[in-house]
Amino acid sequence: MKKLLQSLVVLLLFASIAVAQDRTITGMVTSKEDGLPIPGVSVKIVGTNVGASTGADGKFSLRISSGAKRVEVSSLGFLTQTLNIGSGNVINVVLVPDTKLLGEVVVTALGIKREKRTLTYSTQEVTGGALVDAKENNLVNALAGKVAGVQITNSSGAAGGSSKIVIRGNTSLTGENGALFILDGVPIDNSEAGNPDGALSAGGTSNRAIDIDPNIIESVTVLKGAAASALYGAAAARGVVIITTKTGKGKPTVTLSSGVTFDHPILPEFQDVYAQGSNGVYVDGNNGKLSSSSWGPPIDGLMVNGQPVQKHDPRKEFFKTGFTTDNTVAVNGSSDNSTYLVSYSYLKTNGTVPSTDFGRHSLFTKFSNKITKDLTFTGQFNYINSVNDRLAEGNGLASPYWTVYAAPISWDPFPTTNPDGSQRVYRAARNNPYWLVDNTKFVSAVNRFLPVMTVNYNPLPWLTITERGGADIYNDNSNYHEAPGIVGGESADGKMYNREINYKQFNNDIIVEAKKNFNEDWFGSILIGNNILSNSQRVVFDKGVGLSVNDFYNINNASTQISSINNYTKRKVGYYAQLTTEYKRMISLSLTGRYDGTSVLSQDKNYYPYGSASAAFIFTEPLHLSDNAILNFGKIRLSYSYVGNDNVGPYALSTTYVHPVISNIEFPYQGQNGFLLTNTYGDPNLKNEGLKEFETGIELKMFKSRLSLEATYFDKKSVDLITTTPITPSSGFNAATINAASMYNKGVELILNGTPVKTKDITWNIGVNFSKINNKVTEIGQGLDNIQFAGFTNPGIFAYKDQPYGVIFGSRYKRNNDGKLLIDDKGYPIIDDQLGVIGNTTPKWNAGLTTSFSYKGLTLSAVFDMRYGGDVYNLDGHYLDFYGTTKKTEDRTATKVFDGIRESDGQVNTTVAKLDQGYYQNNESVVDETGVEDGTYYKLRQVTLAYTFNSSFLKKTPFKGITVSATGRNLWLYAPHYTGSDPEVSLYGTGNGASFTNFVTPTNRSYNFAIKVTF
Amino acid sequence: MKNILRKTQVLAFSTLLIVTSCKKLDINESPNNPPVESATVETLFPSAVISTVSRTGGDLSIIGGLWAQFWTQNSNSSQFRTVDSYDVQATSNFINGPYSELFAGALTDYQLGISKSVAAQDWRYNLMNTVMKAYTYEVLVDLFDKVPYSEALKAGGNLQPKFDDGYTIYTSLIAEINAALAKDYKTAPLTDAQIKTDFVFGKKGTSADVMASWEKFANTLKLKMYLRMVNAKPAEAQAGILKLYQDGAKFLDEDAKVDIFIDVPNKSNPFYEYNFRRLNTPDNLKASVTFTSWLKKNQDPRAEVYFGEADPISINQGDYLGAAAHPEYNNAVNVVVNATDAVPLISKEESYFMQAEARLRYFGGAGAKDLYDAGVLAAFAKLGLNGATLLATTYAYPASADVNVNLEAIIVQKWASLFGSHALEAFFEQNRTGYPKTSAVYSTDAGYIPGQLVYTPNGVTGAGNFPRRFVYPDFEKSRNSNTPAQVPIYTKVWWGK
Repeated sequence: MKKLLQSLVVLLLFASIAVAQDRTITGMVTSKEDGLPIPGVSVKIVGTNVGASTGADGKFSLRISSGAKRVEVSSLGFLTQTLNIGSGNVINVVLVPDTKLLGEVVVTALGIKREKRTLTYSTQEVTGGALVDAKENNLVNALAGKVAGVQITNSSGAAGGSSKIVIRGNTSLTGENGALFILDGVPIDNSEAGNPDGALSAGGTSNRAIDIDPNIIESVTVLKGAAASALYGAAAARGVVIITTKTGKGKPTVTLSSGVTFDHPILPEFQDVYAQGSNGVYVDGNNGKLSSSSWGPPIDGLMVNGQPVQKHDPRKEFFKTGFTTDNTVAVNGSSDNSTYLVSYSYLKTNGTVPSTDFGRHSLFTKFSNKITKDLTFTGQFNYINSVNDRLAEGNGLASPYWTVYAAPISWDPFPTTNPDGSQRVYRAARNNPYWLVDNTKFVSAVNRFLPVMTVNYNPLPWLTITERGGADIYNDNSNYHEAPGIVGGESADGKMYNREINYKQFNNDIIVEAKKNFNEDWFGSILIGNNILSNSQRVVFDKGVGLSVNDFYNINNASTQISSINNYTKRKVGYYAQLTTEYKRMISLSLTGRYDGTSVLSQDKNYYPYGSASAAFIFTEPLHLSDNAILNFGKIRLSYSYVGNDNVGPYALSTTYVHPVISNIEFPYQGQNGFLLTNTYGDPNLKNEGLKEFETGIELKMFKSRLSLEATYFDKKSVDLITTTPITPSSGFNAATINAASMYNKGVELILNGTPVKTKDITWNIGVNFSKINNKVTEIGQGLDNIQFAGFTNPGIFAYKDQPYGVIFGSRYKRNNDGKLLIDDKGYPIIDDQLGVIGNTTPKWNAGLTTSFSYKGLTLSAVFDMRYGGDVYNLDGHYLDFYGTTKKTEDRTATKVFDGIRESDGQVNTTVAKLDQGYYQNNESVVDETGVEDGTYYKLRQVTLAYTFNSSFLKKTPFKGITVSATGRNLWLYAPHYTGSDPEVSLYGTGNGASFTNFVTPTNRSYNFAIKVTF
Repeated sequence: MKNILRKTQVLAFSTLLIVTSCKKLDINESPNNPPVESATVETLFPSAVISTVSRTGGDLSIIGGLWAQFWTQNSNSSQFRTVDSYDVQATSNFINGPYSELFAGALTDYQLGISKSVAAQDWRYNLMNTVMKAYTYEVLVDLFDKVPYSEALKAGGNLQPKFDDGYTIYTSLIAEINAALAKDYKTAPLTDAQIKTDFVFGKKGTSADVMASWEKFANTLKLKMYLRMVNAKPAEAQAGILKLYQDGAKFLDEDAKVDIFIDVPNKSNPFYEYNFRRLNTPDNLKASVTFTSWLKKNQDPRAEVYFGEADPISINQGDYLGAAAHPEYNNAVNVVVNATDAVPLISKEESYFMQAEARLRYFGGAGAKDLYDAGVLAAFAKLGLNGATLLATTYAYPASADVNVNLEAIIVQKWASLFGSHALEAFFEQNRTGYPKTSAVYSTDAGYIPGQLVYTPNGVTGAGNFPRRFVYPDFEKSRNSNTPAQVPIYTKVWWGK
């Protein structure tokens, strides 16, 4: 069939008569497969650089000289055709899909494009369009549900909230676990500056990937295994998110897009029957009486001074509809020798919590020019200004959520102050949430520059030299204040701080790549390169306590001021090489090696080598199955890698002498400065961590590539993990940074993509991804069997030896040897004196489903996401049960016969216990175990309905294209065992210690309406 | 040709880049914190002293005062409930905080200060650091019974130090003090700048006066440690004290205290900062009937200073759930601890009372009365009161033939003087001497004798089992395999009565 078609085209051309004059030929290029026009096809006169490319309608127009004999028509994913130019002025071309290439070229380490076909490891790509469609402010969130083996967790639904991405499981005990981010070949920072008061008591800040505007992204590639990322160096051992930005293409095009989003908080249910008070007795918080609990009488019929007590919904009244506007204008285009793109966007979100917002200006330009025949220069620049206004979240009393979630329904929070100026509260020792809204604020303003310059030099057809330099420079200016009058702050006289982070990162790669097809059968490439990466940061921190003048938040208003400046500089150099050979496009073999030097490790151990070996075998090739109707492609791949890692901050080797804060006393003190030995002992002999990973996989394409399946198994062991482990204070230190821990991750990833329907008008695609990871901490070091990284001592999130990373530790009920609850004589479960492990935060598996259905211009797409298993510590529920505001405390006459054994006589318990205030306050909320909830969730993360106007319809308008869309986010969230807002969120944001939640902004259900116009 | 040349140039340039990129990696020296080699005794000492008093005068004195029954947990709040019910678990921050701070903060820095001063033959800072180290170590021994000593504070050298018994540590500390006293710490005077680094005696102004006070502090500390041994090692205690007198040792006739606190956040008395400024309510610690009933019985004017009222409304010790039966609890008064209060290490009156006890025990009581009187008067004078009237009547030295009667008078007066940031010592002394006596009945009982310690109604240790020590922190058990097996909180320490 294919050959027949080609012959037809050739015949057609032969039939025309040659004319030897300058003239313009036009034509249209369509795909043989579906008959649709193919945009972006290169049509070039053979032997010259003269060419054109097809537009969105598949049409091209090319001026040819009289000497032109033949044109070459090529496009990625199709077989290139060379056609004789006849005498006619119209050349229509039908391109045949290249079944060997299967269309896919992927970006691999160092920005090197390779055919997916012969790749020896697993990668997964998400297109920029899919990221934009997700309508998420944070790029990390936009990846959710789309990539196998990746876990994404959210800190909260706050405007500018952080998100974390962990690829193939946690690999470090106390160090960084999040993936490395690369933008056009240059690493960029994705840290979360964090709140100076700590995540537990004040929540977090944005992670810096939020600065990247999804509108400028062409695609995101996720490198999962060490074999894929080894070339990137040490930091890539945690997996890599490679962001490739758009490049100007085709005729000058202006794109305008505009959207609005409405956010509604997803709140759990609260009891709405009982008023403030205790034991059924009303406490009138509206008139100066104080009580923390809502165990009062029913509010219906409750009268004060002959007037009924008004019923409130404290949550509904506090949260409002969030509103986002997102506008982008972009211009792009290309000529023979140059491309250009300029994009500006402004995003503004007003959060669901009063006075919180996030705004981002992003200006991106990219320009490339072919300076000479063999030298191409690309320069790009991204400037971002983002500003985030937040309120404290978490366990600290400056977090308004305390008294929003726990507020009695009988309490009117207004006015927020008493006539004497003090706060008007319903209970002692907490703040009025609206007072906090007016009187506390955390603002972070970031100015960021991301320049990248690339020079490509092709002196010989088989030789490419690439020099790429890039930087990431930002300034994050944060300030915080809490006004005098705050309850439970550092001082009742208020406090404030300024923090200025100046971050600079420079990265330079020089890569020499030689590749050659030696003959029909053999292809080989060799690449050598060098990388220099230097980071430096300066943090200026000023804290002022005790503010003298009201509403004046300058540090000079503080009665005591403490300043510090923290600088660091670290540097890495790396030399790397990669050798790839392919035989008959059937077997490919890849060897990589890297030799890294780092400034943060011990001087005699700061250079270390590592590498990987991998192979792929396309078994359908020798079997000649490429035209087989059932199985047309099959590949197995195998890799082993060892990657070294320096996952430790600078200056961890030495034991220094620090400016102390001793209990509540800070130096300098009484005009006298003091220094103390640091509490952390630095091991001068620190060496690199090691990660050994074995990966194997199979890729199949069936039914003429309509269905593809990729399955991967990996087994990685992390050893010599650099861990800050606690040591006995009697040694003189509280902690030591040493090579100590080890852990493993073993898992499977499945990716299934299919196109059940594909006709001229209708296309239906489905993609499913699934991953299951088994993780176990095998060594903690120092003979320890546990180490804490989040929460309180109890409940807290710990790593325990021989348990999965991230177990919940705390108080629990007493059980007998059969695991049965022991019950007291009153019928209540008995609380154990001994604390223990009460939950495991690692999910059993994760899965995602993406689907899109299009009929002509109409597209309906959806992303489902689910997590099975993995416990969450819901500290909110635990507190709120005590206060009697949760839904489950609404039935106050409930009784229960606890399933267990009576401790006194060993008989099965039959005593009926009342589930009343006494039970909730003295039993249920006293034991940590009751706050552990299964975090299984099912989310309909995104549904988009879009309509693209037919180009013929737009002919008479100035527009090239118009697309309108409506998107719903989190339209359906089902967490059968979770009583809070969303089990995905964690107070610790990007830090270690996922699945611990306490008084954060609820997740949002959102509705977006957008229009995109090009002309 | 030109083309080839250019290409060669580019290749050469790339090669050069690769070669020259071998940049220096020797940049791992922190610009933020000085290396430990540059530590000086002048900067270490003040922070280490603050580290000690931040605990002894802060949370430890709060616990000490709860257990010595000066104050009790309020019925409307809960911060110290576990302490007031003797339910302080191994995970409690009341235990973990001080253990951590005193070892990894104070002691490791005194040790570094000692090694620096020995290296520099600076015998002044050597004495100052040694005395403070011994003082701090004694607190840990008295709280935990056994702690690491001989293998402790060796940093990377030993991460699993063994535990030494209390008596061994005591004798080693006394030997360390003796060695420091044997050096010449007088010839080279402290400069004015150095005197400022001494938060304990720096206010005395001259080097000679400062060092003379440190010498007295050293002797008084030895006296205190020997007196602690009277139950467990009576012969050694006696020999040690007699030796002190033989050598003509001078004892403190002034307070050894840190008195530099101001009413500014993070710069205040640690008890005040902890209980009044940092907690979300200042209403946790209320007057205890145990103490106020005694003050009232004796018409002791100190009630006014300690609680702000001559007849303070009080809560029965540990009865934080009893508000329903005692409506007056809602009006119970707070303890008065001010932001500017000093933290005593050894007070003047404490020194007199200890000398009185030594006279009583080993000199047939000769001179004991005078020292007792001096102690009582000093205790009143400190509060701006005159104790002469009470001393002439209710508080007159019994001069009984029964040593225990005299001892009870001395120790009970000492107890009454240890209010505030010195309260931990009252707990220790009760453990050592049994005074004030414990009561068989609760303080609501008609037969209750004012001032006797009562077993708290919410106690978890079983009636009569008063707390006598701290349990080991859970983290010590998990980090150090040498940690001894846990014993109940009511087990006496090695020197306990």
